[in-house]
Amino acid sequence: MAQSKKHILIVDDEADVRDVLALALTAKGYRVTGAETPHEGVRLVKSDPPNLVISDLQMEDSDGLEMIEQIKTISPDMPVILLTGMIFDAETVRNTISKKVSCYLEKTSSLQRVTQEAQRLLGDLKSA
Amino acid sequence: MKERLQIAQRLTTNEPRAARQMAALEPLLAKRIDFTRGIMTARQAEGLEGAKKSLLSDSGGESLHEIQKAISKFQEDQKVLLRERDKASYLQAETTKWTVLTGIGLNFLLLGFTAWLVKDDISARNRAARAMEEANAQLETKVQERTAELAAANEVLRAENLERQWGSKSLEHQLRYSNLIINSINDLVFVLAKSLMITRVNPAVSHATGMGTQELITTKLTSFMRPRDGAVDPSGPEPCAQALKEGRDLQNFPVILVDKQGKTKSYSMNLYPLRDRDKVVGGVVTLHADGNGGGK
Repeated sequence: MAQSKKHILIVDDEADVRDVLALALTAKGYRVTGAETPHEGVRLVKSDPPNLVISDLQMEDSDGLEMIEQIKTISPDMPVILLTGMIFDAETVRNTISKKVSCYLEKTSSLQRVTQEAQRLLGDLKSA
Repeated sequence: MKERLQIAQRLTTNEPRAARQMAALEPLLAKRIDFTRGIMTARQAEGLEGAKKSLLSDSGGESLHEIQKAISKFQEDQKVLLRERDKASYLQAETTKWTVLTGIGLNFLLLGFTAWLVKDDISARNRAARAMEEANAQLETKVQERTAELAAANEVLRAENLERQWGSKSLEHQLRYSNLIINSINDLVFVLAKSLMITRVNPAVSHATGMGTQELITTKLTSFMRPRDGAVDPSGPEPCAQALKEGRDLQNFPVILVDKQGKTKSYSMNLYPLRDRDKVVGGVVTLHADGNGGGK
């Protein structure tokens, strides 16, 4: 039964962030798994392919963009949300980051915005 | 005859009129019996002639007529009495019949009334049962609605709670990240109030001055930093305070820093006013080690 739910992988080195985000997404009906490091994230993408990846940018053993590039070699069409505390200017986002990820969100974005973006990328957002 | 007369008298004991008639008949019968005995005595004594003579001299014929008359009267009275009794009996039977019929009628009425009461009671109970069912259904609907409302409210509260947690983590992350950036800079960074009172420093400041963060906070920057000799007119206003007052930057301004041991070191200073809604509320000073001095 659990396997029929869409699977979201959260990669963030902060357990609190992973937990809160997982609670919000589980409440929306998704199956959520968490990875503390990009290395663990890539391993999970191979062993239990998710429908969506939500990743932090700066982590201890590698950065999120590197991991996203590895994920894209495994599954080129997999949607990815980059969730970061770093604030980029609009031009940087438009010219570089948006070409590598499906969606870029600052960590100061509301949780509702994050879940809505996840639902949108998974085709689950009902149009108003 | 006498015996039969006694039986008749006993039978009429309770009827005074008949008893009187019986009493009046008794002497007549006695007289007739005596007359008959006289004939029989004459028959025995004088044979048939004697008996015939006695019969012809019937002085009892009159009594026989009286007896017959008394008996006829008695019979007539008894017939009247019988008719009266029969009538009374008929009336009693009629009364009994009507009493019974009335009782039966009343019983049917009572039965009907009882049936109506039972039916009314059953109807009332059915109405009460239906009303209770409706009330229960309404109650159940209300409970379901209330439960749904509570579940929705709970969901909203849960989402709000998660949103608050997320906001808190986000702010915490941003603050930590900002601190990380400031603390990783090798230049000395001071955050000042407009009065040049220090409100925040990075670790490089403590390292350069030999003073702890707590010691530096609320200390005036000018208490251990001054413009390099010749950089400004000593009789003029303090350059940092003046720049903040005018809301302008200072770039590469030569200063001398005196540490806790009294040793001096030259730095190149930059000052940036801190603006909050277009109002200068303080400034940020960065000092970069610069042995050559120079600047404005």
